Amino acid sequence: MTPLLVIGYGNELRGDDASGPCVARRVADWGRPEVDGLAVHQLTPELAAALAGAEVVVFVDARVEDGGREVCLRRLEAGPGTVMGHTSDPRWLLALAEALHGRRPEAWLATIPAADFGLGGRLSATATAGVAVALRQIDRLVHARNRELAADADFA
Amino acid sequence: MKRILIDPVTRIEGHAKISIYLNDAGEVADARFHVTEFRGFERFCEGRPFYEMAGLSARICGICPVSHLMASAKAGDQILAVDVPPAAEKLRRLMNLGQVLQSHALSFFHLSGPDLMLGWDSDPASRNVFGLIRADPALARAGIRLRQFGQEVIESLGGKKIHPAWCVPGGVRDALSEERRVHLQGWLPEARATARAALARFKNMLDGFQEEARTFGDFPSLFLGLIGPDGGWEHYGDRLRFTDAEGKIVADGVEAARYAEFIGEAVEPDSYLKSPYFRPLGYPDGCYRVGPLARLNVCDHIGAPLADAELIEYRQRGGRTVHSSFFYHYARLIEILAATEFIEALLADPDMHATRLRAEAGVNRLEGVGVSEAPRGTLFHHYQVDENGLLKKINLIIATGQNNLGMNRTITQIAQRFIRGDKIPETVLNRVEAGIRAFDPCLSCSTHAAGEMPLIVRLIAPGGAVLDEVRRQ
Repeated sequence: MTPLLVIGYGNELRGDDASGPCVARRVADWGRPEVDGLAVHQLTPELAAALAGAEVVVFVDARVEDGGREVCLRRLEAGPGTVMGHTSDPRWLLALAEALHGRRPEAWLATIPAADFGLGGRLSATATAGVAVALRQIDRLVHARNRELAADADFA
Repeated sequence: MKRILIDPVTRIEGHAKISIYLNDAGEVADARFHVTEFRGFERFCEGRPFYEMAGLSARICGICPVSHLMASAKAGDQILAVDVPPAAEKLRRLMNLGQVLQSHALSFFHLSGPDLMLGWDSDPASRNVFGLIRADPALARAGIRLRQFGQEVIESLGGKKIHPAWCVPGGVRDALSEERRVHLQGWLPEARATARAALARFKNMLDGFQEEARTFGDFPSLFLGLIGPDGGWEHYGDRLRFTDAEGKIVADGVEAARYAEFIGEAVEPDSYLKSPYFRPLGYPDGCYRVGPLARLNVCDHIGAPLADAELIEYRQRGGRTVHSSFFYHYARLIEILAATEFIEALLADPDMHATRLRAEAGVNRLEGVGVSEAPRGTLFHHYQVDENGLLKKINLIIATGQNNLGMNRTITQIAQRFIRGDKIPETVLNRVEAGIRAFDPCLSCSTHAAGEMPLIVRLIAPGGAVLDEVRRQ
């Protein structure tokens, strides 16, 4: 089972929409056994199996500029969400994992503020800064998870 | 005249609405399927180098990018004036089969499965993939894994599941690695078992669907599909066959480059979807259908033993030329089975490891037409370029557009059968939508070029008075 899986999603040819996949690739490049990264264009139904095989999942997505400049990290619960045939949202995917495989992981959603969704493969300064923050937040989650596991081991 | 609006249509790929027009007697007079989203790829790709089109047009859609890759690369082959290496054609075929398989699996198990397995009158709150999982978890899980197999075929060749930039004018970029070849072979028994189980399940249910088979778009029309050199089922070649409602071949072996002699393109003011028609019969009499139903109607045989056996039974149940659009579901399952057989044969082919995969050339022609069978039907990419290979004109004829007239006739037939009065019960609404879903329309790519189609929005009161009209030319 994957201890912590980061799923970054978005279109890598639409500017800041690539911030999610960018985070996931960086995480995969860490090469750490306790965390893996998966960069995808869309959240497709077959990802439910990957979710069911992870203890913790962090979804990373770009956020349309809403005035806030912070990276938001919040807990997610399974729910109806939205589904558009071939693509879906994290809550729907969590529900699908539970329905299909009998379990869903603890889940988080990190959203990175975006400034430019125009055609192109470069992130704006806003998104670039957000990617760095998201990576630090994920790193903290990994460390917190490691501490929990270590405490559990000590207790046992 | 009153109008009943269904907006949005659910469980299809994209956004659309339906208008149903009642006459003064309160009976359904007509129904129209409107596509309300606009893309404009034909216009904004102008000026780009033709060799970028495969990658650009693949971005049209996250559900069938491979189909656009194929058609675009084949148009590019024409502009280069090359024959692609045989191994490259086999690899392209392999990827296209993966595309057909994964898309059909999504359509059957995710989008239409809830209606088919749970019933049109079942509780709408649970008439979805979760209801399907509760009713038959093994089948639902198998359906998702079947789609995953198709995606794995695509990813094994293109490096990723969605938008692989692998198929290029002149050939393909890479062969299939031995590791991935073996990996894919390992999937085949499960994929085939799922296809056969779904077929058995569907056939068992078919007797209970007689009403749907009669009313979900059961009408005579022409049919179009690619055809193999021996009259076999085809998904990649470049010869077209049109048959009529009686199964008579009305045009055969037509080179894709001559498509405009046979296909006209009409536009209607209330939809971004073009309405292609069989030119010799004019518009709208030249209504033809494409996709799984049409491919099984135009072919003499499939060329894969298990699928051919199913084709015989399919024709026993529906006739040599099947008119009912409800049979799209059945045809889709047979094509999934066929895909597993063709994939198996290709994976055993020594050319999977070939190294000569791309013909190199410059611009040798100023025009090219590429065609492929997308899951939803025949797809055309037609490019005109200047001497530097920059695109001057682009025309895309998309499967969903070619089924536009058929979809209008389908929803009219369903509405006439089920709608009474000026209200639409939820179960009737779902049947009207299901008529559209039978075609598995994908609206991402099927809309017209920028600025070329007027849009009229009318507000119509009971009695037919037009209260308001907004017109964009």
